[in-house]
Amino acid sequence: MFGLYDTAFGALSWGNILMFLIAGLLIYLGIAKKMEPILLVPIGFGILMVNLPLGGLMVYTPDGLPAEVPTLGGLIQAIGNGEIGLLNVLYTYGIESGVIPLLIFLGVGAMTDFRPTIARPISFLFGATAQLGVFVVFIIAYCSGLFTANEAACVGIIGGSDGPPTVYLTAALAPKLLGTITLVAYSYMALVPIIQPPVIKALTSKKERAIFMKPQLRQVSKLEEILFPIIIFIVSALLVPKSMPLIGMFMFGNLLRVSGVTDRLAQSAGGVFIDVLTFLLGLTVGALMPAEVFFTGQTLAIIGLAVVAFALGTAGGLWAAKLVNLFLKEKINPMIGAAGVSAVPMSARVVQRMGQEANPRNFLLMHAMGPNMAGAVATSVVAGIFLGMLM
Amino acid sequence: MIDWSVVAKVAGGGFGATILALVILSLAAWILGLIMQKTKAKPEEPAAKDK
Repeated sequence: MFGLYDTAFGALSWGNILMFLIAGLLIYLGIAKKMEPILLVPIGFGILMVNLPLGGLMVYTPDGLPAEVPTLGGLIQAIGNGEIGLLNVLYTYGIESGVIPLLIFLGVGAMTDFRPTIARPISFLFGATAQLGVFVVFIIAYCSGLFTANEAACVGIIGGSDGPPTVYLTAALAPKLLGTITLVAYSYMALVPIIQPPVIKALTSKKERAIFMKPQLRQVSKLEEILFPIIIFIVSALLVPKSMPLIGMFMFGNLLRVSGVTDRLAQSAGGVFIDVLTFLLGLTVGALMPAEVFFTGQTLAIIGLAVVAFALGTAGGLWAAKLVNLFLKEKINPMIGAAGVSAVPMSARVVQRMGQEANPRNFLLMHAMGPNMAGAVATSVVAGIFLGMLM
Repeated sequence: MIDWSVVAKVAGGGFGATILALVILSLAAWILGLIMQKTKAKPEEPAAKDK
């Protein structure tokens, strides 16, 4: 400007301008349409921050990876010299290290009511079969030649529709895709009410959708609620050790909620604590999407494959519920299996709405919440299995 | 170049391991429920007899 300093206009590219439009769309969807606003608004703003040139909030290497953050001693100097920005620090210490997604999962656990899952343990089976989309999309992504095995696993896990395991796995296996995968995962979670109904309708008859289930689940005792997170944590950590950080945090958060003596901790974990972490995650993830990293063939492929993952996950849960019905005297409504894709609580709400459309006497919400919560556990197990096999 | 052994290991083995792990978790939760319901039912019996 007047030869005194550089303005950013000259450094703007068409890619940056396109990213502004994407950022604007995300902020609009978050604010005006209330679609996942607590994530889409920070992600949108993060995209703006990183696509305004010369700001230096997030510095990239020529390979498209965030610049490496030096050890604590050199940190201040590196920021001062413009070698890294504030968001590089948040990315390295918060996301790449796995700290933020894990702590968010603690908060999620503190907000989770596992009683529907405890009352009907077969929910875990629906949560498991709803991971079908994850593995099929892994095969498609890997065989397409566009992704390595590590990247394909991260694309597949979008189908688990659970944020923290997706971020945790991608930060470990495919950090370059973290921004795109997180954005697609959270955007599609908001689109569950649009993606799931056609799949459910295609795979069930009206008679099946109208199957009546008694609204009341069995009573779960306080002791059972307390023992559940401890037992599930120990068993899953022994079966899939790499899932221990995720399930450990999830179950610890839940124990705070149900213990009856740590209400203040549970309220903090599920309140301001998770809010702060969520906007730090959103902002940093948004900043992982400079135009040169976002506009690739991989991004388009991820957007397409994620729909397939969600649809197949829905189908997997439904098919398992239909299979179980062959052996049950008192039939369950197969739609509750579709809630195994997690996306808490959206997919359970979809099942509730479709159940009432088919049979106004039906109240399926609590029945669907069981597979919904089991789906969150299942996605963490899958993340652990991928880490164990591919790291 | 597609490494089919990776596909088989990760997709086949991974999905199988997921199902197995979740079936075991399901059993653990079911056994927990069973024990809890039995221990809850026991003290109620003498109370019913008292009446």
